Amino acid sequence: MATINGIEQGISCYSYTEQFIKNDDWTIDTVFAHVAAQGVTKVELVGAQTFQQYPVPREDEIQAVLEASHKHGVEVFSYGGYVDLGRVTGHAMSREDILSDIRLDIMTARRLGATFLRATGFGPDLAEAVNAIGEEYGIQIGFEIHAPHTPADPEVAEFMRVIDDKGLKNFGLVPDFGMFIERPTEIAVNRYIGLGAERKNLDWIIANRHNGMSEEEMQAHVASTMNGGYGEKVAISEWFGYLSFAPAELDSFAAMVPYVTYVHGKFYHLERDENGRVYEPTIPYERALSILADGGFQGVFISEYEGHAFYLDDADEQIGRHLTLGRSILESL
Amino acid sequence: MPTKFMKLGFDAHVLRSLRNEATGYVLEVGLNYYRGTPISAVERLELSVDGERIDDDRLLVEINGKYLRLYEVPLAHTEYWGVKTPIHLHVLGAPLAAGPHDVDVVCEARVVYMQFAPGVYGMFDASARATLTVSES
Repeated sequence: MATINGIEQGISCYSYTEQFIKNDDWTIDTVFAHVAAQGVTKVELVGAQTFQQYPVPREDEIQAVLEASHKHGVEVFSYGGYVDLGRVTGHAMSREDILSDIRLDIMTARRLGATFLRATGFGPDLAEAVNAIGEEYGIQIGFEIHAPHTPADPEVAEFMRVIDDKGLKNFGLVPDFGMFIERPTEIAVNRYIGLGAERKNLDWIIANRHNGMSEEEMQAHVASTMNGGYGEKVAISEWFGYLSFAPAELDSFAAMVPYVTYVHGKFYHLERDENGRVYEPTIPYERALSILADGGFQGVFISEYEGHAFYLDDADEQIGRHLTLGRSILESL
Repeated sequence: MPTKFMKLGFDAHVLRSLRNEATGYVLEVGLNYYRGTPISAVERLELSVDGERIDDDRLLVEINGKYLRLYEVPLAHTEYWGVKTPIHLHVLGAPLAAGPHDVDVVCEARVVYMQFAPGVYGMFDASARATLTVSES
């Protein structure tokens, strides 16, 4: 995939979650074949999904990735790790426990030939120690800033301060564009209706999402006064959690750009307008991508489709649209 | 701001097969989640067949070739339940009659990486129900 103004497009294998899980015959080889068909060579691979043993994959699982990589001309650019903080029931992970898990992910990244690790699960107080492990193995760590967090969060500012103060060379941030979602997708709304929610209840929840009610208060209110059921329950839970929405924090995004190692171009569903132009109806893509490019970002912009959250089976079409959208924005800058 | 109750769309992939075996019968169970999980994250696991709750003492959970009693599941933090690797629920006792049976699995688990406060995690619901057929042996 061509580099446009210093930005190269890539794909997260996570975009194929729906097909990978539903189809027993899909392997990482299948995923890489689909990526290669999009003309993309760089992928992010999410360990906890791809591998059937995690955090330390079996050797045959690593070999399968390397063989598919070679066969399709696809490079594991970044390895997506997790710190599974709740793995041991009733046990709170210590600082050493967390660093141990990070080290395992970094070791896997090395086995895969990746140069980046996308990390989560710790605070700015561990950034220096994580950076040191990254230096030891020659891996760049990008801490993911994901919804419901935004670039304006004090924790993001603290990460940036630590990177500056300690002069961290192997540590930066990975913004996930899902944090700029300003309204739920129509597909999400329809999904909750499919789970039994009433449209008028969902409209009320959307209108009142930021009225000061806690999630618990809203769950109780909708259940008791609006006859809300299962669909409303799931909607409230997800809209207060990983599908949270709010006016996009774009002003504070500009300050974050110098710390960006690479980008998760999260998107939910791309539509076409009457002129055939592709657009993301819930995320201000033109503005966010422009801020990134204007801020001097040079690196990889990963398309990450989250259609499986809405039971959609259209990853190839959607990823193709996203690559087209990104290319057209970047070429216009 | 936790996602306390995440329900994904892989329900139809959860209850895969039901068959008799020498010691009773066995249910193959896939995971309704976007990634795998250490099985220790499973906080609630219940099985009902034809509307009747199976006593926990009759259940054995088979994962990665190991057999766990139900109380051992939250302890099994080294056993990873991958999204493409079903577990098996063995029910000890009488085999099932050949033909269709209503199967209902309740499975609720921690989202192990999504901690919102000490000991407070997001949750996902991997429960499913289906009618599965036991073939004539």
